[in-house]
Amino acid sequence: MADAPRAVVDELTVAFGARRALDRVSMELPRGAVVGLIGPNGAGKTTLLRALLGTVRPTAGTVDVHGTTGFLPQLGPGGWDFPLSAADIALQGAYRRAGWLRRPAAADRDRAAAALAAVGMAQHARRQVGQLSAGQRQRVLLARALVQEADLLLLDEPLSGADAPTEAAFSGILGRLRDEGRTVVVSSHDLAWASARCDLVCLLAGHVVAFGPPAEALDAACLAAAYGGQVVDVGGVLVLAPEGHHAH
Amino acid sequence: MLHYLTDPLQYTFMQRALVAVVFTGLACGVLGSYVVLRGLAFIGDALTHAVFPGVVLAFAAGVSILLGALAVGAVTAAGIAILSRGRRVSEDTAIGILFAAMFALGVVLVSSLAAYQKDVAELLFGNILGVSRTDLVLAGAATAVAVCAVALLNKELALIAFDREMAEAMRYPVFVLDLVLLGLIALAIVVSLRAIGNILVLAMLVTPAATARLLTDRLVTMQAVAAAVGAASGIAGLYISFWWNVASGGAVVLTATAVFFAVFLVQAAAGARRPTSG
Ligand SMILES: Nc1ncnc2c1ncn2[C@@H]1O[C@H](COP(=O)(O)OP(=O)(O)OP(=O)(O)O)[C@@H](O)[C@H]1O
Ligand SMILES: [Mg+2]
Repeated sequence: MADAPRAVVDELTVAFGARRALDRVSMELPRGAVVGLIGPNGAGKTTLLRALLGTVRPTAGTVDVHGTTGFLPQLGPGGWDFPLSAADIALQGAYRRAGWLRRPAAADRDRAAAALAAVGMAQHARRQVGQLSAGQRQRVLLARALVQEADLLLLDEPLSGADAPTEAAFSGILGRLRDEGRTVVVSSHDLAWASARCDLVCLLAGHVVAFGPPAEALDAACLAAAYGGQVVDVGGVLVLAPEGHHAH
Repeated sequence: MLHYLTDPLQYTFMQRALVAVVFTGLACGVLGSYVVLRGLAFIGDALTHAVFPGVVLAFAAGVSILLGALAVGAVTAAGIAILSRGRRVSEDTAIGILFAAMFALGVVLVSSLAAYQKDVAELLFGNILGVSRTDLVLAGAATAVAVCAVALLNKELALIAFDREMAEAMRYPVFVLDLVLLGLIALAIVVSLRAIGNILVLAMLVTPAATARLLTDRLVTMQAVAAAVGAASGIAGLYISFWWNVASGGAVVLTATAVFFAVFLVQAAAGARRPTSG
């Protein structure tokens, strides 16, 4: 079915020992959508993305994904001094297509080059990744995720360390992916970015606080519930005030 | 002058030893690149010690010591991988437990086999006079397996080494591939046992690869350079050992170490010059 959801999460609970990272989370991710995943530290955003990837096993409930998955990890790799170039890293996204024992095809090398160009890293393609700045490394990881050409792309805080041009280019890329019918889930701490750029927002705090268009999911009451504090309107932008700082 | 190079070749033991150190250089260079890049020097050291009881048992039983080392190396590699799978036992701890235990087992075996105690030095430090035809065939086969396996699995092994979480997200069997890598490192160690000896194998895994890393920023180039440096150090070290009548394993390792420091110092000097000239 062409308009069946891309992924269905049903009553998903993930517990690490006695602690529940996710508690009975349910949602449907439609095709052709950019979904923002918002919530405080420890809200379970990374855990939810891992459950969608299948690298974290549900304690209870089910996760159904229709199509292939792509990923950008939050912390990224540890050893950036590894002797690989930006182009090599981007090409890793094509490894599963290439299959075991084979080198990626010429078409995949072209895809990797195109993805690096799309994130503005074409001129750095041949540089060893350890020589790149933190923001540039993040862009290389984004290029790798794009090369996966996945139906469901899971990006864990891809905008950490991004400058304004990168953010603009990133938003353009997301629009293109959505138009291709792909579903992109982006976890972020940037409320303004999420309300401007996402079709849907999932507000998470161990459980789903709100799920819907940004205007609904990111309203003051929901945010206060998710972050357990006060939400202050500063010139049209919602800002979280630390607890105890009541605006009278 | 040329006779310095050709004279030793009259001896069969020297011919065999030269082939053996070239195998060592190739296998240790290719696998050693992963030992260096993944920071597995401790595991490498552990594996070399852990194969000791296998060596002793094979020696006592009169079969090739490489076979004994191979069997025990495979078991230990699996043991380390399985023990460190859970969160409670770190890889370092698993290795510490296993390799000390295995080496202790080797020591106990040697002490209970009184007749072999005079051969312990040979088992620990290698003996180029003792490279048999069987050893050479086994070492050649093991080298071929190790080098081919890395050539075929290089992109997956590199992905796991660089970004483990991504490899898991891409649904690679990361645990199995870790086991394969440990097994291949054990294979490289086995290849080196006769010529280099148990104690010094670690240097052949680490030093040529570290030298290669200084020279290149490309993984495959690094592996090739490490293999070349390892093989060349092996050949040069054997000649030194022949003409100066010193232990072969020590001569080979010191040659490899000298190459490392030469490259390191040249680069440090070039690096120190660069800011003022540029
Ligand atoms: N492997 C793990 N073992 C034990 N607890 C874990 C593990 N991974 C996550 N947790 C716990 O699950 C909860 C959710 O973690 P998660 O990483 O999903 O949060 P997050 O929303 O991604 O946070 P952040 O914004 O800081 O990235 C936290 O309380 C964390 O301590
Ligand atoms: Mg997270």
